[in-house]
Amino acid sequence: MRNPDPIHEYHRMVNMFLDQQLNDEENRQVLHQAQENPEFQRVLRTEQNFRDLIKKNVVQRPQASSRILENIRSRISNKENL
Amino acid sequence: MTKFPHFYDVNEEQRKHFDQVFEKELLPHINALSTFAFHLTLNEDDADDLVQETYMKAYRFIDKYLEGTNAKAWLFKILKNAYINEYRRKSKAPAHVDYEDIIGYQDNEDSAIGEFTDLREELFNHMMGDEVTNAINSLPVDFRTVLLLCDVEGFTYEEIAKILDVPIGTVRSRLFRARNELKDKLKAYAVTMGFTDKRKPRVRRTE
Repeated sequence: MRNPDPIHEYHRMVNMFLDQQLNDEENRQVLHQAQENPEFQRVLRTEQNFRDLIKKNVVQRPQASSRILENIRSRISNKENL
Repeated sequence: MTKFPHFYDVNEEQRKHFDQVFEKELLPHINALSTFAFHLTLNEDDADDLVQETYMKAYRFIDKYLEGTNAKAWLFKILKNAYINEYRRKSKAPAHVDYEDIIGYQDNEDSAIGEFTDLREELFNHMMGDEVTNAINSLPVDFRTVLLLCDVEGFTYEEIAKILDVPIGTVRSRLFRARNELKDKLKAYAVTMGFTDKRKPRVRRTE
């Protein structure tokens, strides 16, 4: 049973939209609602900012060192633990 | 010691082909795997070991991999299994307890989803990078994992469910709880930095 609170429903739709869980028609409806409904637009914008914040601040490790790559290739070449 | 028969049964031509597939389709994902490993172990050396172990396992079973399919998801699944099977068991770290175990969570889909935490846009002005990173890293590992797989790596719910060996409803529920918990942490941090939410509290309706 769906929560009758419209804000809850906006969040549910926005999350499904941003997680690419909606079909083309549902995506169009979300974009249409974002144009017509300021509160829905606010929820979408805030959630998008939140996702961007996560992406920006999740620790991304720098490129794997050549040492690791060499180790992997060397172990395979030597049939180590294979 | 028992060897994996397929590894020694293949001829030189097949071996070269496996090596090409390994180089072209599997190794290019090493940076994403490295980040995932770090978020599981929160330790650089353990993460490097985990990545190496993942690639050794992938090569050992490369004949099971279908060329041109989702190599990244396949590797992430191997890495996750390697982490569970070896690192958790060997680790002297305190026993891990799933969040779901604590709250008696059932694998029901939307029925497990409660109220969404609603952030104010102004709150983002109070966010500092380090604090956000710390908040993400302080989430339980199951929550960090789904956030990374969904929001950073862009896997679908279906792919995440396969990687983690859990139902899609569990993926959805963990994402919901992870995001809410992170929002609560960020709100709490913003309040310490002087942010005040001037909205009237919403009346929470029950279903």
